[in-house]
Amino acid sequence: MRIQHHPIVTISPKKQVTFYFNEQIYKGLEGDTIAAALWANQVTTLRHTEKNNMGRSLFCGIGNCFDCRVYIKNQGMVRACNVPIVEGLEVFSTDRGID
Amino acid sequence: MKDVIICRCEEVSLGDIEDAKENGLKTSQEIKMATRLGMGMCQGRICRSLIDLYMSDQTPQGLLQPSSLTVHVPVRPVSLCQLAAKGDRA
Repeated sequence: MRIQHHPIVTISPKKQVTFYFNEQIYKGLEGDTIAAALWANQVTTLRHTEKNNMGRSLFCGIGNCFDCRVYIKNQGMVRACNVPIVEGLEVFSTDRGID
Repeated sequence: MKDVIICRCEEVSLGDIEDAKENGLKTSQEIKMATRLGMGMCQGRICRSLIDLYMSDQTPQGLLQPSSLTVHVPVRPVSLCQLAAKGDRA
């Protein structure tokens, strides 16, 4: 699920980056945010809420609403919409505290 | 309509707010205290304007601007290591 052709923007080839989400391996492109890379892999539910167990994903997409927060190993909670993926990044849905 | 989510962090629906308003709460602050609306991860960035608008018929001044709800600093959450790194670069 990626834009392949665009009338104005040139889609240049990018390096593939491997990362993990909930211990499953995924491939994204260099420069992708966590949310965008997962979206391209048809993963749209990033976490489930604490009270009613409802799915949460990108909502504002601009770092305002914190709905897309995910846990990165050794880094803590971040917003998936504005943190880029790096090779071997381990992302989880739930907060795992400080290792 | 009742299950429309107003506060996404604390999972407060329009129905919860309607119930609280029917119970006699008059201000955004009171709704906040009763339902935890606006007290979650994003600190009301999404729901503050919605609740202010929803409660604006309860005050003679109407919609209060700026919001009567407390807006806490920092505007954006910054981790201490980010702050420390910034100091080094400057």
